[in-house]
Amino acid sequence: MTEPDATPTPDASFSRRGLLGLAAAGGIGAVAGLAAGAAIASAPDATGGTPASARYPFFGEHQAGITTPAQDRLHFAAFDLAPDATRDDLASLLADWTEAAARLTQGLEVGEAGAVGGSPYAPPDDTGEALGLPASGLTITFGFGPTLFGTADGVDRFRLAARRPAALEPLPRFSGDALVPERSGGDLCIQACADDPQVAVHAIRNLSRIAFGRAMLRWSQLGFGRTSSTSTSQTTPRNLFGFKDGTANIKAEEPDAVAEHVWVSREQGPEWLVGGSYLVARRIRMIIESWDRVQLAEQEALFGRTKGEGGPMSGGGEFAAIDLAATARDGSPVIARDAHVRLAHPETNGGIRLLRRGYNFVDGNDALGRLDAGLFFLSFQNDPEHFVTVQRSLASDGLNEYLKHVGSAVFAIPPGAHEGDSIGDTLLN
Amino acid sequence: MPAADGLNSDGTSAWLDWRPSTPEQRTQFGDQLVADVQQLFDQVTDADFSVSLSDISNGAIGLLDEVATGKISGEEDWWSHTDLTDFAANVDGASVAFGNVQKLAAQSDEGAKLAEEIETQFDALERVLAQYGSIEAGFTPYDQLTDAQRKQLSDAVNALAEPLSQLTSTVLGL
Ligand code: HEM
Repeated sequence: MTEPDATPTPDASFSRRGLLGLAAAGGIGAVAGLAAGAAIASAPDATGGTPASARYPFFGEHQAGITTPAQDRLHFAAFDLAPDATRDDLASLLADWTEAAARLTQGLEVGEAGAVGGSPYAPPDDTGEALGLPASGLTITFGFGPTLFGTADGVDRFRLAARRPAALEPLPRFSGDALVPERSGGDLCIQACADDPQVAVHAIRNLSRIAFGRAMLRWSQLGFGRTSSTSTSQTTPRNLFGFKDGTANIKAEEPDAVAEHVWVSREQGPEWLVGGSYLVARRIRMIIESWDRVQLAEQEALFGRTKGEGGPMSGGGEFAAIDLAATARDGSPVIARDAHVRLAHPETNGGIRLLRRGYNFVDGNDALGRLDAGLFFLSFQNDPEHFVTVQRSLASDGLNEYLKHVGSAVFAIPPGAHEGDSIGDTLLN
Repeated sequence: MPAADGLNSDGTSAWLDWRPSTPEQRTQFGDQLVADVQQLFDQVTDADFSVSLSDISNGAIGLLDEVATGKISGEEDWWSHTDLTDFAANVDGASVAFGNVQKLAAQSDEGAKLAEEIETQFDALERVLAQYGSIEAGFTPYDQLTDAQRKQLSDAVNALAEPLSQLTSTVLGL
C-alpha cells in the first residue's frame, strides 16, 4: 500500500451477503484481489466523512487504520496470551486473526460458512450481527505490547526477548496519572475502526472468539465519535470539551511528515518493525460537569484556540499557523503559557509531531452521577519517547484540572502483511 | 424433574435446575449417564443413532455452558459457598460425556484435531480447578476467590467451551 493509505470504493452493493457466493467460488484471495483492483479513487461525501461502503485493503506495506481517514467509530481491545500459551499458539493466533481480518475488512463474514451457511448442528461460524452491512470502512490494526517480549518479572514466554525493540518499554509514570491496572497494558491489541459501530464491535467480538484458549480479553474501549482527522479530505470533528480536535494533526496528504514522524525507519529499526509504528493509548476521563461551568474566554485560553472556528488565539482561521511569540499590549503572551496547544506544539517539543487518532467515549456514569466521559487518546509515532516528551510538556497544561488519565498502554505496531503472509511474520520468522 | 439420564429431552442439562443436587443424586446421574451412553453406543448402527449421539455431546456442551453462565459469575452461590463442587461435578459430567463420543469424533482428521484440543482444554481446566481442592476433599468457597482467580477459571471454561461447541456437528459428521 502506498500513502495515502487507501481510497474508499463507492460501491454500496458490495455487501457481506452479496459476496457470500463469490467468496465460496474464489476464496479470500480472489476476493482480496478483486477488492484491490476495484479500489479506485473516489471523493468522500460532502460531510467530509467516508461513504459507508468504503473498503480498505487489509494487506499492504503498512497496516491500515493509521493514515486511513479516521472513521467515526472505534472498538479497541487489549488481550493477554493464555498462561500456558506457546510460541506456536501465538503464531497460529496471528495467522488466524490475519485471515479473519482480511475477510472482515472486505465486508465478508469471518469464515466461509458464515452465520447461516454452516452445519445446523454447530454454532454459526460468524456471529451474524453484521449480516447485510457493508464493509463500512472497517480497518483492523494489530499491535504487540512490551509484555509479549518478557513479563515484568523477566519471563521470556515466547523466546522474543532478544527481538524486543529497545524503544518498547512500559510508559513512565506521569504527574497526575491515576491509572487502573485493569484498564492498562496488554500483550496484544486490536484497533477496529469503522463508520458503523456494529461493524467495529462485530470485528472485535469475532476476533476475541477466535482467540479463546490462546488469548483473552484484558480490557476494551468503545469510541462513539472520532476526535481527529487524519486526512485533509475530512472536516475537523469536536471532542467532548466542544473544541475542534485534529486541526494541526499529521495528515495522510503530508507523506514527508508521515515518513518522518509515523513509520519506523530502517535506521531506527529493529528490522522486523520497519514500516511499522508505535501506538500509545490513554483513557483520559474528562470532568465535564466542572468544565461546563468554565467561562467561554477561559475555555479558549486553556486551549489557545477559539471554540467556534478553532483558529489560534494569535489570529486567523482554523488552519492559520499559530504564533506562539505573539504578545498582547501589556506584554503577556496571546497564547497563554499553560495553553494546551502551546505545550503540545512542535516548537515547544523539539519538532515532535504525533499522528493523533483518538475517540470520544461515554461509558455510562459513576456512583456520583457524573458521566464517565472522556477522550480515548490514541497516537501513532515512530518512537514512544515522542509521546513521552509531549506528555511531560503537558504537565503544566491548564486543562489538567479537568482531566484524569485512568488507562495507559503502548504497543509496537508491526508493518503490514503482504497477501499470503500473516501479521507478525517479520517478528516470528 | 430431570430425566434419568441427567439430560432434558431437548438435550440441555437437567442440572440447569437451580436446586443443588446431592452428591448421591449426582453419582446416580453420572452412573445413569454412563449406562445410557453405553447403550447408545451399542445402538450406533441404529437408523436414528445420530439423534442419540447429539444428545450426548449436547449434554457435555450444556453442562459446561451452565458453568460458564451460572457458576462462574457467582450467581448460584446464594444458598451456599460450595459451588466449586458443582462446578467440578459439571466438568466431570461433561468429561464423561465427551469421553464416550471421543472415538467417534476422532474418525476424521479434523475431528481428531478437535478431540485433541478438547482433551487439552479439559486437562487445563482441571488443573486450574485442582488449585482450589477436589470433589472428595471439598473446595475453597467461591467467595474467597479473587477476581483474578475467577477470571482464570472463566478463561479456562471459555477455552474449553469454544472447541466443545463444535463437537456435535463433528460427531454427527453433519
Ligand atoms: C482529553 C485530553 C485532550 C484534549 C481534550 C485535547 C484537545 C486538543 C485540541 C482541541 C487541540 C487543538 C486542535 C488540534 O490541533 O488538533 C489539540 C492539539 C494537540 N494535542 Fe491535544 N488534547 C488532549 C490530550 C492530548 C495529549 C495527551 C497529547 C499528547 C501527549 C496531546 C497532543 C496534542 C498535540 C500534539 C496537538 C497539536 C498541537 C499543535 O501542533 O498545534 N493532546 N489537542
